[in-house]
Amino acid sequence: MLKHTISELKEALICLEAGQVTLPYPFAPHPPDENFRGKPVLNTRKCMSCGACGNACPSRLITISDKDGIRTLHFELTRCTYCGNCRDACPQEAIELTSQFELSTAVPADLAINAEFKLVTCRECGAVIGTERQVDLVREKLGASQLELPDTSYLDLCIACKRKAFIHSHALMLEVTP
Amino acid sequence: MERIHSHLLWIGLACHFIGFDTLFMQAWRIREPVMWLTEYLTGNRKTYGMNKIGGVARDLPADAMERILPVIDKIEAEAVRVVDAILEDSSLRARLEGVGILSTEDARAYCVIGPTARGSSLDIDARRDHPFAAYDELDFEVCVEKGCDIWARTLVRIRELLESIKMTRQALKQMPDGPVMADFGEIKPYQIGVSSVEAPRGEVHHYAVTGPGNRPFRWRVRAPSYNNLQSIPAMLRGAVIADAPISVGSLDPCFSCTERMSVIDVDSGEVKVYKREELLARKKL
Repeated sequence: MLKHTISELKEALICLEAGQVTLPYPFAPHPPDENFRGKPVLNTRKCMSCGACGNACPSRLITISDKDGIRTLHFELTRCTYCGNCRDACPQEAIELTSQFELSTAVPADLAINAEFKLVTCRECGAVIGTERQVDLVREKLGASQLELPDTSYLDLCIACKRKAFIHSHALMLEVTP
Repeated sequence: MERIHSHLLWIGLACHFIGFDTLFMQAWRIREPVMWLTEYLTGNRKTYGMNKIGGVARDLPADAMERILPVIDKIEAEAVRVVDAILEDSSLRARLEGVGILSTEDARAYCVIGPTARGSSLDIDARRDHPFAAYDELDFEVCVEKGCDIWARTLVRIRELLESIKMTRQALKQMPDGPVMADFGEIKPYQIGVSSVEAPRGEVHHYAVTGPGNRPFRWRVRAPSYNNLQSIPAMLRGAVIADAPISVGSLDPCFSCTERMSVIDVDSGEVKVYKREELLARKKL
């Protein structure tokens, strides 16, 4: 009996010492740790819609579809596990995992990201080459490189037409002649 | 880490089931710093996104030692105090001793695992029996109790909690430097891999079939709650209804781990959750 009373007193003491431990959240904000990974956001100015994020995503929630001259990058965040693989895979560093964690919603569409990019088509055959951003990036990189190419007109050709144009180019003719 | 917080969670929940909310509050108060620690270490409280094929996603932060050690020291001190108080608590003991009895024979027959098995004096632990990760380099005791009742399961979890804190310290001390990911190329498709690891509730089995393009073709998890729940009929036979909640609770069952079935049509993206009748109807086909 005495043992029991002592243990009850010990329990009471533990509670008294702890005092109030409940945080005032949600009435006061409770910022998570700086390492916390919350809702991903996409910086559409940096994104070139290459799809590396979709490849890296274990939940397969990032999809890319081309329709009517527009490429749509779709994030279905209802399935997101906040692993951060998409951010690690992105070559443009366009994805950031924010510290947002209050994501409850009655509307599933609130947890979706849709980014649309204009597509560029081949000037010869009309096949899709890539998005405007991708072609611009290639042009930018070529401009910055030391190659000094005289002719960049092939940039708006698709891969098949590029091959055709290359075969008929004068540079190649010279080498083939015996 | 996972085991520390899981056992503290269980102690809290079990006490809640039997109406001992004081301890429920205190156990969860001690647990919260562990959750903050995992948030700092892995980036999330529960879905760590840490384990990957070939290694772990990220290394420990540079100041991990300085942040982990004080927290686990504090948890240990507080847990020892709480445990010390409840071990002598005769009302708690009277409520749990001799309740939800699962004899050693029954435990073996129902193939229960984890703390449930160890509470029924079955000396099994995948960490020692099939060493994985770095468990063979750590020195730890497998906690076994002979009581076969809920009190024994409580003691197993309490001892494992303190043991886990010691193991975390050892692991931190012996942590080698080096890469956190192994370099592996393409994995051959349609190879089968089976592994078993000791989770807080018992052994988890993973079965995976590799697929083309370095993606899994099939993956199936057998969570420990599935094994442990089978022992409920043996545990409840001849018991009073008031003992049922704590008996079921003493297994720390995770129903969402055990029962799930949703089918996703890859082409249309449509998700369908099958109900019990539909599954039974499909079985007959």
